Amino acid sequence: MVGSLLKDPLNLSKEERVFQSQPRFSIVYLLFLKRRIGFIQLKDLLGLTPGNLDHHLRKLEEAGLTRNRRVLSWRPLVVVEITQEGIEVFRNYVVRLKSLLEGIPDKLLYDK
Amino acid sequence: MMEALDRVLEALDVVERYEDYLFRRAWGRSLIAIGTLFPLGMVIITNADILAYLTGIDANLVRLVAYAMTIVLCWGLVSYTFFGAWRTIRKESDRREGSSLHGVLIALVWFASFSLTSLAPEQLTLVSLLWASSLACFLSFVILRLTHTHDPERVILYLAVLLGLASILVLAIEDVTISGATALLAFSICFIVAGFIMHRQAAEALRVSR
Repeated sequence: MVGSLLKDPLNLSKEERVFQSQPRFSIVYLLFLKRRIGFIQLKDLLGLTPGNLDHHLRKLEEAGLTRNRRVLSWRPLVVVEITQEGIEVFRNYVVRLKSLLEGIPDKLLYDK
Repeated sequence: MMEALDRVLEALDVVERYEDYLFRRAWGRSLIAIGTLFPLGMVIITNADILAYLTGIDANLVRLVAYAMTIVLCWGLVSYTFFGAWRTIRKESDRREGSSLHGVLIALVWFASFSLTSLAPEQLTLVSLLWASSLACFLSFVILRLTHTHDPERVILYLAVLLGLASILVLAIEDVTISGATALLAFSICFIVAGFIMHRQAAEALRVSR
């Protein structure tokens, strides 16, 4: 019990484990704040190849956190959006992360 | 635990770069729109008599329609561009209070600067456009710097200086027709080049800096 808490202090759910990788966390964080972003912009922002980004987006889509939508503009665009479930899962995760950080005694942070 | 913190910090950097991209892209598009539409409108207004003769419409009506179209298209396109960027940025729940204030201030400054051109004598109308846009760009730079909403945008300052210098060059030309055409050309080139530089900077802001 103590061992598992030390390994996973946030007691993550199956969906939350999906964004444990840095790119997926950044994608969900950005989408949580902005709701949607273009595939090309996301690729450039994260410095990923299209195939790599597609892999991360598929993982997020399978967990029901995001969805891809094709938009017809002057050129075809793929827009990535966060789902309502994604918003709730990420909000819960942030709340727990925040409470865990508040639990750190100031003594540990400031004492030499 | 530290891994989670690192992830948050990295994600914060991504969000910051995205906002920077949206801001620069909006400025880039607006500068290109102003640099294209405004001189075109002015060309139609200054050649209203020729157009009236060719179309058989009253010259004053041609001027009025061209003036209204220029104002509506310029303000409409710039407002649409900035509103799109602002709408995306404001989704963040804990945005700073000053984030929308600077936009209103800049819009007022541009409106006031261009309104002042109506006070200029007729022979200086086109040169006064360079002075108005130079003043508007300089004040926009000051507002952005004071409100700390974005990094001070040097391109806007350089544009203000360039437009001011161009106005001196135009004043040195004695021929009214040539000076008018040079003023419009300088206005257009300065704005379009600044717009493209902003676009390039937007693309650079988007790219990961590793």
